Amino acid sequence: MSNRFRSANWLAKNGYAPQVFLFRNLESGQVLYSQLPTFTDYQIKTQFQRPNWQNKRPSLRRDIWRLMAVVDCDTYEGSVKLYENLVQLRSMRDLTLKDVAMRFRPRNKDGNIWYSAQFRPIYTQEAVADLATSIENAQTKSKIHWEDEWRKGEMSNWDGNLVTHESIDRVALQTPKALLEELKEKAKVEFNKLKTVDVEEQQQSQQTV
Amino acid sequence: MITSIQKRALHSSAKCLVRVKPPPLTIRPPIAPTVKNFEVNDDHPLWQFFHDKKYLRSYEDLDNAGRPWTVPELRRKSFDDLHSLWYTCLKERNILAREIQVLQAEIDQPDQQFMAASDRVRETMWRIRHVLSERAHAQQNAREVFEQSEEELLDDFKKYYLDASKDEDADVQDALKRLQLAVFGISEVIDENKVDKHFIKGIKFISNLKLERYSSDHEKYSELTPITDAGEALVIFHAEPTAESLNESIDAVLEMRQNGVSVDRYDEIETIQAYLNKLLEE
Amino acid sequence: MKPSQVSFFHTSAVAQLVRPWTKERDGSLFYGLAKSGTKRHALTTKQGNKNFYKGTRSSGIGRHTRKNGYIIQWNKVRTFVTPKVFNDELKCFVSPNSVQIKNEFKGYTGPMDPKLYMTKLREYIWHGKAETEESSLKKGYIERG
Repeated sequence: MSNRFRSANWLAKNGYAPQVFLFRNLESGQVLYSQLPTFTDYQIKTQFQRPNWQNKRPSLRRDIWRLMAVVDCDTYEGSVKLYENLVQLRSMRDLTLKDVAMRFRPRNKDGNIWYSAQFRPIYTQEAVADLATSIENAQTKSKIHWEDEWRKGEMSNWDGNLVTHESIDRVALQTPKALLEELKEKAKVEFNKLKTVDVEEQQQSQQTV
Repeated sequence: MITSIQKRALHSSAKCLVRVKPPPLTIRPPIAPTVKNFEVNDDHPLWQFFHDKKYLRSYEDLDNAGRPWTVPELRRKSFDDLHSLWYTCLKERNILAREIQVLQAEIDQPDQQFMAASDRVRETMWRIRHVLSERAHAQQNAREVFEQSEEELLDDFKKYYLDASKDEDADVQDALKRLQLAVFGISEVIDENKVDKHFIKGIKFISNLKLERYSSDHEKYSELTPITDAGEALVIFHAEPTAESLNESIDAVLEMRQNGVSVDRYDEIETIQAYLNKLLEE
Repeated sequence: MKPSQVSFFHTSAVAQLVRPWTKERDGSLFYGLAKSGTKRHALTTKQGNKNFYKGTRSSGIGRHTRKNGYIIQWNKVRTFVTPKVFNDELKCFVSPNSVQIKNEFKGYTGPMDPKLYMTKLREYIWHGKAETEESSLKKGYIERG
């Protein structure tokens, strides 16, 4: 399903929650963003535009992708904006601002970036930084469910008014499909609650006017 | 005088209504993960691989002066103590192995001081095994000669037991308990016992001994002794070491004889085991 | 029978068996510093021919089934028995200032002497865990054993 860009209307109409999904490649540490709880070749093509020997285009093998985080947004528009921002930041890192991104990468005393075969931990760390930037830019209140809270880094990196953090149950992670379904339902309930509150507020303001 | 702009700035709605300009979309330095984000329980089992919850000990913290346990020192310890010490050493070696591994990444070779400490712990460990095997061999050797010396040992004990005065009653009873455990393997705790030929032999020997000490002036004594039936032996074995209690048990044994209750010599072990199992269930 | 070559008589039989066989003109070895060195070590798991299997003592706790499963046989699984009463007062090192006890085994052949075992058995039955004259520490460091 996630073979093309999905608009906010489409997501709402097809029973999806306002969420963005981050998947992590076990082999290389690369991160894949998706609007839906699945991913296809479409995401890989748009998010890994200029592959090279140290940033290979990852394969679609299901077994080497693991859930890294799920972001619940307060609106469908917000979630779409968040996804767009993430993709845009990825292209910045890979294409337009590549030299800046390379300068940000920490190096050891020999001037090398740490890696082991195809694995580079920096990809995950960059994705986390991009997530923080995108949320601040999209100005959408969001709740992040982390697979491992270790990854979120220092709390000073996150906007306390916009972001709340939660960690996913370790046992639930073993059945990702059921977990994603459960998170979707929860996010939808949350979203509907917010919507009714908004409608009530509007009605009240109209009455007072 | 307050200007209109200043007025607006003071207004509380100014803050809510002001349109927040989102920060521009640009890349920022990567966010490194930190361990500050989660708590580790103090009793987490992996802490057993750390000394004092330290990542790496300094050379000063390492016990450089301590020497390994010597064999004569270990010979004085009980099995439980040796077992505990073995596990203490094992844990220490795990810690040292982890630290050596950590240091190896830095200095490209196993650290000599940590390796030496690990070797000293290992020395203690082989000595523990040495002492245990020594004990096992000693027991095996003793078992081979025990058949000849058992008679002598039991005779000596009999003499000591019967010659003791009434004031020494408590000492004598303690000694009897140790004898039954050491020679016949009869434990005070019922469920630790396994009935075998030594057990049967033990209860017969002890019941005769008790009768001789406490009830030798009983009128039916000479008729009763020596006890050879395992069922009768068990009744007397259970009796308290007092004259009254033993006289009661003698009466019980006489009643058994009158009723013709006896245990067949060929299935003594099964009968007594069944009786003990019944006791345990109750 | 094939005759031995004349050149073999220049060196002793032992010298011919010692490796390396080649030396520099001045007598020094053409590689390495010494002829000696341990060469006979235990094989690792990677050495040996196709029939040589040396595991790491970490597997082989069950059997494979035909349909891709694995049945664990629990009697083959390693179990570690920990002491029931753990004495945590014992540490793995002893203070260097503490006295080293010496066992003398006077009148006995050694620690595994059955006579000594019988003596200890008698001591236990008659005196329990109390120390006797014979089993006590003498001069602060000598013990019977």
